[in-house]
Formats: sequence, structure tokens, C-alpha cells
Amino acid sequence: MKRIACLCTITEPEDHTSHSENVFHIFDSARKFNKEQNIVGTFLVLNNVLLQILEGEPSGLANVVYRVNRDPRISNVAVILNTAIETPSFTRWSIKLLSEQCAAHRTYLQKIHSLINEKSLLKTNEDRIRYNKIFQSILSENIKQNQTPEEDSYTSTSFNNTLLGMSSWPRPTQLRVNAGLMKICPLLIGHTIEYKKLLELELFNSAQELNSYLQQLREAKALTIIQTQDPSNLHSFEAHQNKNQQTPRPGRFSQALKNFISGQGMRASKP
Amino acid sequence: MSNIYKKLAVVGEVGSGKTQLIKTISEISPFATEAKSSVDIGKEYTTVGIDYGRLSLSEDIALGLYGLPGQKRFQLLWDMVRNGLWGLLVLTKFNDELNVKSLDNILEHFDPINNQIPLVIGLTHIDTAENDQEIDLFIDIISYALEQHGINAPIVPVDPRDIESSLMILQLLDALEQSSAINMEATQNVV
Repeated sequence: MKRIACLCTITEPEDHTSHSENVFHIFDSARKFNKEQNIVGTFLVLNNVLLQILEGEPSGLANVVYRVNRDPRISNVAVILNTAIETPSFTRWSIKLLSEQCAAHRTYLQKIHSLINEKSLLKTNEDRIRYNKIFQSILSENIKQNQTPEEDSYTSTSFNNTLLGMSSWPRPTQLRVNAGLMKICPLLIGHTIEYKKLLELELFNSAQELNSYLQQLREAKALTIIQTQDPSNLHSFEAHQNKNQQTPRPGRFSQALKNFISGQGMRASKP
Repeated sequence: MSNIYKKLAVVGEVGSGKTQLIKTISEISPFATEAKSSVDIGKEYTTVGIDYGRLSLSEDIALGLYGLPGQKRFQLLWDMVRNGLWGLLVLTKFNDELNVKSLDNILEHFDPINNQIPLVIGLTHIDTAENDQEIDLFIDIISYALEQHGINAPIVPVDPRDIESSLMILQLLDALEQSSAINMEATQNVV
């Protein structure tokens, strides 16, 4: 059995096909073909760079490489890993459309990087650029972690003097969004907000309740926590807010909806 | 006090559960526009027009529920409800063949960012997934399509047959709208 890694560039579609649709079509045809050839692995895309890690019998892998080389939607194909393995690391064929912000992707990329890094054959400068593009988020993350090793050591009670943010919604496979998370996730996604400001919004009955939801997000690796001694100096719009400002009161519609839903909940909980 | 009437658009592909969700939430029998399906889609009837339902939240406050087919050829119907939407729910059926083009078309047409419409992607039939990896794969593809439109929207499982699960979507849309009000107010206070 062998493992190969194949680096390619996705060409711009000539018709009106969108990039995402183009990627999906390439993936879908690969998925069907690889199933026939009993090949497992993963398909990683970041913008126009495609990296496929494939595991299977040599003849099947040769068919895949031949096919990839002939695919007009793909160019500059380079096999950057070709190694014998005893057991496969993948159990199926999967796809990851990478986002630089997604914490779950970074964890996944770490695993892939460790599979191919030491044995990779990056022959040309272009291959190195494309490879680094795919793995840049984890490479920069490693630097960031080295610089601030204390960032991940928060406990539920130590959010004081922190800026909090989220880059994306937690996935249902990571964490199911509940009523409490619904209150804070929309405020954190795409923003940084002081913990103190979150407390002042009085979204929950107590700081402990807020902390417990933040802790859930932290455990799901969906929360970015930045320690700061002097948050007022940071370029966060929340830091400039009037301290006496109250949470905007929900409108009549929102209030009526909340009442209706809580009423439904009461009815549902009756024996 | 004046009456308040808001509109929720529920858009999705064939078999994604639009009609069922409206049936579950609506207090009235929905005006369904279903027709017998001409091809095998796993069910006898499918939506060919607008499904309409209504939810009265109090004497003078109501939410209109508009179920719309997801195919682009029905964009005339999309236009009929697009203006002044309170929320947009795109229902996506979990299966092996996600129609990325259709999702692209819906997002392009409703343009939730510029029109400031809270958006939720509801994943239905998620119980048919064999494992979490399959669900993650499906979400990867949806997330990617959303990113192409600069959208970061929640992707949540929903069971359209279940009232609690369906109402959770309304709760989430409300939370998104409320947070945008807080964020907007905060932005206005930037020195």
C-alpha cells in the first residue's frame, strides 16, 4: 500500500460556473472515481490550491494520477509525496475546503502536515509556495502559540481582562447551539469584545452563567481569547463605548416572539 | 398600538422540509401549493409555488411564513417576498448530492449581507448521516459556498417535524437580529 500527495492548481472556469461549484464538481468526480479504485484520503482546497492525500494500492493510485493530469480543470500537477505505508491513516475519502479562520481546520491541518512534512518532495519554488499557502494558517498559528503560550490556559473564572471573539459558528458536530450560546455567539463572531462589556450587556442572570457558556465555546475550540492588561488601548469598538450604555431593549416583535417560545416550552414540559 | 407583521422566507431544494416546517409552526393550515411529483424524489408531492403559513405572537403581532422552492426558475416567487424580510432560512437536505449552484443562486438573489437579513442554514435529514465526518464534509461544502458570498451564518440541524427544533430556528434568527442591533449601536458610539 502507498500514500501519495498531489499538489495542483485549480484553473478558472471558462463558463459562468462559480469557483465553489467548480471545486465541488472536481471533488465529486474524484470521490466517485476513488471509490471505484478503493482509494481513501482527503481533498484540501484553499482558494485555487488543491492538495490531495491519497492512500491505496499502487495501480489504483497510478490511475488517479493519470486522471488528475488529464483533467482540464486542474493544472500544474506535482506529486510531492510517494511513500510506502503499512496501514492507511484515512478510513474514507473526505474533503476539506479550508478556511484560514476555522480552528477545526487548523487542527486537521496539523495532522495532515505531520503525515507528509518530513517526506515531502517539494521540487520547485512554485510547489513550495503552494504548499506553504495550504499550511500557512498552522505555521503562523505555531508562531502565535509560541509567543503567547498562556492563551489556552484559561479557566472558567479567568476571563477578566480578556478580549473575546469567534471566527465562525461552532459546528453541530462540535457543539450544539443552545439558547445561551445564541445570545453570545452573534456578538462574538467577526468581532472582538471585552469580557467586561459582555458582562455589562446583562445577557444572563449572573457572571457564572456567562462564564459557563464561554467555557463551552472554549472547550469546542471556537473561542479566541486574548489576554490584555489595558483593553482601553485596543482598537476594539467596544472599548470606546459609553460605560453607561445599556443593552438595546428588544423590540415588541422580539419580545412577543420570546414570550411565545417560552410559552411553548412551558406547554411542552407539562406532563 | 400599531400592528406588526414580519416575514420569514423558508427556501430550500426539493424534499428539504419547507412545507413540513411551515406546517409545524403555522397556526393555520398552510396554503400549500404542492403538485404531484413527475420524477422519483422520494415523496409523492412537492412545492411548486409559495407555501404560506402564519404565526400570531400576540393580538397585533404576527409572523408570516413563506415557503419557497429553491430552484432559480422560481425567482419570480423569491422577488415577491424578498422585500422587508425579517429572516431567511435556507433549508438544506443532508444527502450525497448537495446542489452548490442552487445555494449560490439563493444567496446571490436574497443578498443577506447588503439587505441586512439574518440568515440561518438549516440542515435537515441529518439523522441519515452515518457519522460526524459525513456531516462535517457536508458543512465544509456549505461553509465554502457561504464564504464565497462573504457570509458567516450559523449552520444548524433542524427537524421540521418537531416544534421545538423548528422554533429554535426562529429564536436563532431573533438572536441574530438583536445582536446586529447591539453591534450597530456600538459602532455608532465609536469615537
